[in-house]
Amino acid sequence: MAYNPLSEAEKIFILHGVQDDFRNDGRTRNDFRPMELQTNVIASASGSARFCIANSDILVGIKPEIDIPSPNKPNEGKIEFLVDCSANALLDFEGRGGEELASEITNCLKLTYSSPYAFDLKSLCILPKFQCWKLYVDILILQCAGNLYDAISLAVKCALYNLRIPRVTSALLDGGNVDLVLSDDPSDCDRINAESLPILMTVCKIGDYCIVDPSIDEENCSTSSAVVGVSGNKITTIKTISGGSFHADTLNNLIDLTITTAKYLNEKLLKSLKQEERQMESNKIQKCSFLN
Amino acid sequence: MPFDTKRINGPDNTFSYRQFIDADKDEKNKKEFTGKRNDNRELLDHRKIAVQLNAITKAKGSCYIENGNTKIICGVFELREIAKSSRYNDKGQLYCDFKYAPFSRETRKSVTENEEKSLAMSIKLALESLVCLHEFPNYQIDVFIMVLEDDGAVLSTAVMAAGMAFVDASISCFDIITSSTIAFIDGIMVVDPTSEEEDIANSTNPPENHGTITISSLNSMDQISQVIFNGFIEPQLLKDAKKQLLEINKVHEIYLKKVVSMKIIKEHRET
Repeated sequence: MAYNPLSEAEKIFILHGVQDDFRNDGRTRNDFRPMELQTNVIASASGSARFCIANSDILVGIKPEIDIPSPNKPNEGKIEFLVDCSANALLDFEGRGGEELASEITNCLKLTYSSPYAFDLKSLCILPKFQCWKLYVDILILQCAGNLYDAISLAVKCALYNLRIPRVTSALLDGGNVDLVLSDDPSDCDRINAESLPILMTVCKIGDYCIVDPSIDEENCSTSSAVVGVSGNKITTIKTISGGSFHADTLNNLIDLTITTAKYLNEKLLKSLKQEERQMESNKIQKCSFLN
Repeated sequence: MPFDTKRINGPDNTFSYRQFIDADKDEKNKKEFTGKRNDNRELLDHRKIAVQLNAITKAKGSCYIENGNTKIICGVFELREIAKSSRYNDKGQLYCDFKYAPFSRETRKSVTENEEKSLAMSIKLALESLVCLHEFPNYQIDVFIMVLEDDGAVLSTAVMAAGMAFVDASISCFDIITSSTIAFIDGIMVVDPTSEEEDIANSTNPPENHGTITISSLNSMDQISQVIFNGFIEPQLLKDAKKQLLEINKVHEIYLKKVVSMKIIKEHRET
């Protein structure tokens, strides 16, 4: 993914670390790096979150807008993901460099959110055939230290948890024109059930073992890697993201590893989201600047 | 894509007439899917595949493949040196271009450019573990794939087409790549789905445990070069599907090997 030259000796060092279940930053094979999350960071967005896994830093803002449902899905809303890889994050993204990666991530998110069991678009419908909400999920990569898929999917989940859609008090059809009345009270709003929202997990194969949450160095050492989307204990996507191949049995290991890790991660995430919300309400968090 | 203003592109906002009959048809489809398929196949049966090598005379290697009604043509062109301005690569690079013909599906141009790009990327990744790229340092190989008709399992058919085009171009490969697709409808495995079955598996009201999975594999070394799954499913079902797909891929391999040996025999006779 990112160009970061490693010598053969360094690669072997990482490989041996993975074999001994003691990676070069002290983690075991199924450990994540420390994460940080913060919701409601952007006042002008209806839902926002900032999420860091170590130095991978993602900022997500969601804006709901009103649209007309597509004719073949009259009672569904819409969701659109837009990933921006700025050159600040990695010099490789300069010019059009980040475009390919951005469209890959966008597609992967779109696929994971496509099943109605993972994300119910029907709740975004206002008036079937005439009006629906369209969620624009804008994702900004501020810094990149590997494992972008995971960081982005977690950030999106946090932002969707934080999202507040204005409540429509009445929607009337008046001779083909739609009359929408939104609630006057700004605190009167609808929220999305974030519990079943899928998260993506990158699994890298280094040597004979699979690891989660690879750093840039580990991404460079891996022979093949795959992204798995998990919602609850079901799988929503599997996609290989690098050019290598792996043994048929590895696929089973890979699925087992992600299911157990994602379940644990999801629990922790929801818990800290709730905790963070309570703290925000009681104004316990003192901020000295936007990013700190 | 740049617009050709001199040409009549048709009105901007037309829509397919099919949406007016769909409501009725959709219901019918769902009722019909009780384990029996429209083309009288068993659930685990694959459609018949036909492969023709050297279908494009101007290309270095090419392949036309039919999988039931799915028709794909693929060409591999001469190696090109990568321009000096970009970074030196000690491995060869693949460039993959994937396009649907505008008339290939029920509704005209129903696939967005973004989806085409994403499929192109998936095919490229699958091929990267097939072609001996270390033999072509700093060279680029172009692969062009065109879907003439889409009746389901496009990705897996395209991967096989591209793989065979490489064989036809006599570019060294590690193995023969084979690929197949399974759709899940309510937890039931449907091998090599038609586009109708794919639509049911990924419709707006799918039954639980739905989705489609495509696996491309290099069988002689038991390697999987690409997996794509999209849907919502229990892990155990996926593992079962993997087993089934690898079995099917082995059957494909027998046929593809036969095609290759026919090519070699033919060339041998000509010289």
